[in-house]
Amino acid sequence: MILRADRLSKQYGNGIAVDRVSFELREGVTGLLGANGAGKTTLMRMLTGVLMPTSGAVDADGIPASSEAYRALLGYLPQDFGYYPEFTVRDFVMYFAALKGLDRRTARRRTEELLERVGLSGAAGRRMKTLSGGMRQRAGIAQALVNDPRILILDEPTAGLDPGERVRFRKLIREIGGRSIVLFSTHIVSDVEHIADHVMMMKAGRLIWRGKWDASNGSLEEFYMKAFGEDAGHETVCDAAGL
Amino acid sequence: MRRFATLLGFELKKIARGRGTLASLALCAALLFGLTMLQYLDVRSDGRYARAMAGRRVDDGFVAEVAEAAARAGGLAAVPADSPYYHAARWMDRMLGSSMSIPGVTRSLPPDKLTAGALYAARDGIMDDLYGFFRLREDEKAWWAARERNIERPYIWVDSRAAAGMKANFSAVTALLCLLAGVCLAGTFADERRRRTDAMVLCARHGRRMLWRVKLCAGELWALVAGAALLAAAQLPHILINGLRGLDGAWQLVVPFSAYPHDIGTMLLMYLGLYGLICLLTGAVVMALSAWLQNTMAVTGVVGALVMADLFISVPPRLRALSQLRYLTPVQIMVNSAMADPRLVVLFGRFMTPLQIAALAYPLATLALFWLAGKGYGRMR
Repeated sequence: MILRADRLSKQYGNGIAVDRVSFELREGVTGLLGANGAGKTTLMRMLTGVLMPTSGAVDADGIPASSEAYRALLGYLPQDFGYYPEFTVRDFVMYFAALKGLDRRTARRRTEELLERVGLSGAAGRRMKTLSGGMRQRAGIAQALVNDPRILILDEPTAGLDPGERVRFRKLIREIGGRSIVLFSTHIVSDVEHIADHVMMMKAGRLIWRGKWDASNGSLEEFYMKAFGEDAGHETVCDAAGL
Repeated sequence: MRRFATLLGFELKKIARGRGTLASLALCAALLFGLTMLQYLDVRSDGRYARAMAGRRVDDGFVAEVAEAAARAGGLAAVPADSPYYHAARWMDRMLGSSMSIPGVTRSLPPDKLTAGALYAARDGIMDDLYGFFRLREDEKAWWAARERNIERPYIWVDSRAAAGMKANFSAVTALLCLLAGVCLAGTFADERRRRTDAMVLCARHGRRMLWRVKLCAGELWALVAGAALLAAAQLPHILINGLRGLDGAWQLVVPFSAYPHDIGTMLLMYLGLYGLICLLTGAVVMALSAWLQNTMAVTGVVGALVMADLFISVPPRLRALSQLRYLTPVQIMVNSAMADPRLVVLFGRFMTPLQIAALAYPLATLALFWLAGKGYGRMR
């Protein structure tokens, strides 16, 4: 499967949040790096079809992002997402399973399986409002995965996770990346180094670098710091990467 | 279908477990129950007499007995609650226009001049005044006159206390239902944004068209259930205390200045049906506002303002179209227990009464609001 973004732009008034971004993603894990306000979240929301681009298009093997067929392939964890305080953790995941079209039996099986995977099976009957931030984040991850998505988009998925949970999450994502397209954004460069097969970097709404990171190029963190330094432009970034 | 039912269960859970939903419903039901019970604590009349007189013709003999009691008490309105003629005297007092809010239509008839003929003539005169007040055209008057001819005279007295109480309660129940829906359904669409669950929902396979339908269905189900609970709380005391008798009596024993030629039971059923449509309309209004305003507090505020406007704004009948529309609003159409709005609307070449127009307009408005809610939900992207 190929996830294709073709000259995607999003403009708010006079400001451009995402500026003519194009890329193609295949099965595997891609990390999206960028400073605050770089346009990562806007780009991801357009990829999920939640936000209409000002111009450009998104499709997966020719299926447009605005279609139900596209949404059937999708799993999405937004940054700083909300929850239904009156739902239990099990209800929360089951609700999204139903929204994603799973029948009741499959939804129940997948829910129990995923709650086990994210370490929440002991808290399945607890109300969402009683959970800690990290537990809510794990419940969010479970809802994103419940339909076994072919395209998984995760916006800051490791925020709020403790080191142990982060290791478990990396393992889970790597496993899913073997059969699905996974795009995740983060500020934590080491997460990208550990999980991502490919890296994309955004700055001021533009995709300034993308490719497979090779450890022989040096530390990704150093490269990232150079890329997002005060005067770093596209050429600086390529130079920094020795490209 | 099964998926729809599953989602419906979750959406109902969201509404029912929403902050204060069940507490507000219980509070409103208790309030209505209490208000109804207070009416009985205020005036304790002996229902045996009302029942004992049932089946008698409201003719000269009947009127003379009541007039005698009125003469002893010093007027129809002064007949004491423990008198056998208390209920009949109160009804005859209303037949003379005592409960009319329109100035100049009341007829003054001393007890010694009170006969069946005078009573019916007074009613006819008041009806003419009302037709003038509402600026009825000659063809409208003729239409009502034809209906009036189908009402058998003299009326047969029935014990209509429960029915009268129920009719009078419909407006309070409707107003409270609107306010309650404004609180409990305000978050139907708006809460998805407030809770920041909108992105997850909108990118799910069934998060758009199907969820829109499910949410509307859940909201309407809730409105019907809450409406039924409020209605039961308000009406059950009347039925339990007075018994549901006299349903075959003339509607004019409940609403004196109505020309509807139906019995009490039929008219109560019509009001019940209309109330059901109002429940659906109210739910649709609140949910459409929720989808468009995307702010729970704003929705509750707007609904509150609409209910206040429905209760208190008046439009003079000389602005015929506007005033007629005004009388078609949910609370207003239920309000008046002394008279019925006699203005007619020509549709498909025939006259239609306000109740018929409401029965047609409310479902159409509900469907239009569903569509508007869908448009508002689409704007969330």
